[in-house]
Amino acid sequence: MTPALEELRITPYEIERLSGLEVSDHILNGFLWGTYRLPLRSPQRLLAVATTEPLVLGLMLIFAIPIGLAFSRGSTSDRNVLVVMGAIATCLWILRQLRMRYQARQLRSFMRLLDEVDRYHQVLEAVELFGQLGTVDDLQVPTNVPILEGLNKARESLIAGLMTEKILRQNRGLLSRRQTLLENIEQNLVTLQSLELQHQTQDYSDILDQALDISLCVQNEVTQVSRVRSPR
Amino acid sequence: MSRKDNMNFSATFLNLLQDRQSFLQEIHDGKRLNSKISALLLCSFCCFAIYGGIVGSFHSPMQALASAIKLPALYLITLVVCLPALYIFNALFGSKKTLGQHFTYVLSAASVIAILLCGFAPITLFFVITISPVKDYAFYQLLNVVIFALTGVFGVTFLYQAMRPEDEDSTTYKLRLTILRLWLGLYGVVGSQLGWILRPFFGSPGQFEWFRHREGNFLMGVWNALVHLMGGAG
Repeated sequence: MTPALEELRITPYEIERLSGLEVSDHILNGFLWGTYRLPLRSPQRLLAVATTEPLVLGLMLIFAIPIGLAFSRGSTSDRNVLVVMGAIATCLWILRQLRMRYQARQLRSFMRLLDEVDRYHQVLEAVELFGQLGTVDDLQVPTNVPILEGLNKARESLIAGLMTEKILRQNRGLLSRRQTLLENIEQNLVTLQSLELQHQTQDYSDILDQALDISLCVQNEVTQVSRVRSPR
Repeated sequence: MSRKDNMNFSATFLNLLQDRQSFLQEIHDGKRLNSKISALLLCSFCCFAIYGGIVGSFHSPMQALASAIKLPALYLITLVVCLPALYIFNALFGSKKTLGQHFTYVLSAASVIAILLCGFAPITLFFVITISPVKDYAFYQLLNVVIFALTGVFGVTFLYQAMRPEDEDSTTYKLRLTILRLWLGLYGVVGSQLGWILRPFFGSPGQFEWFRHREGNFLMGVWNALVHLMGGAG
């Protein structure tokens, strides 16, 4: 990827800094204290759940061994130990599922924003691909400046969205910062719309379209989350 | 997230093996600790379970299942039991590292042991297939004791190097180094006692049993074995 496009990427470390949560393809904040990224429709995410959950159950089983041994102290039968171990591990696993479900509900907006970040990265890859094709075919590639500007605006919107979500999630109230961030997102949208009008005839208009779309999604998400979490 | 940014479990585990310095630096900086703990816990659990399964398969499939559960339990429970002592003593004598950082360090050491055991797995499996479960039981036990000792030494060395206090000029440097050494000893003692409680791992020739009758402790067991050996020799 060219240095200019590479700079536009939002790294996991940056997301971690902005959101206060560790992010990977399928899990937020690690499987111990975190939750799976929703929706689970994609085969990769389903596979991640199907491979991780039996291992987690196994881990709970081994941490239930000392409790099982303590409960069945004095008993000569191994069966008692195994029954206690199995019961404790199952209870822990059910509690974990409930906690994950609760956490997933709390982080729904954040997950949608992450999906937009993924889409944004796909757009970056598409731009890179266009650039490479232009070099191969010796075609005149349109100047990248408006594209980069458009992508930069989408990036700023995403960052503002992630920050707003974190502030609202952590404070559960209305903060003065929110208004500035919302205004920033709106400003970026206006810029993107004008950029799109200027470049509708160019090959890159699709990309600007997507950047605009991402920013609109971010704005929707932030407005929604603000409405839900604002004190009445 | 893109492929490049994919911080999946196996990638974290491989990072520990291939780029140890930056991995440890990230723990030092407190970066992505939750993801690291998750990845190390799951991957070390898998590796210990695989090796445990192979060790137990010398006796029977049921023993293989039991050892696949008990071997990860031995290493990971020992770690959790000993962790508070290390953290509290280090904090008391000037360490600024969090409990999460301490946990990630010791879990990294356990993961090193786990992956080394997995490396020895084909050798152990080779002997499981080629020797007699009844006649060669003592040899098999000895082989595994050597493997566990060797991997344990590597794991402990890794932890010692990783957790050595950095500020050599500090007044508490020597004290914290002593705490670390003592803790490693404590880890060994607790591990041995837990191993004693969770035995059998290999499964002596005869009927399968999940746990042996609980009596005495590890040191008594070693003492009895020595007395038995001396008696046999004399």
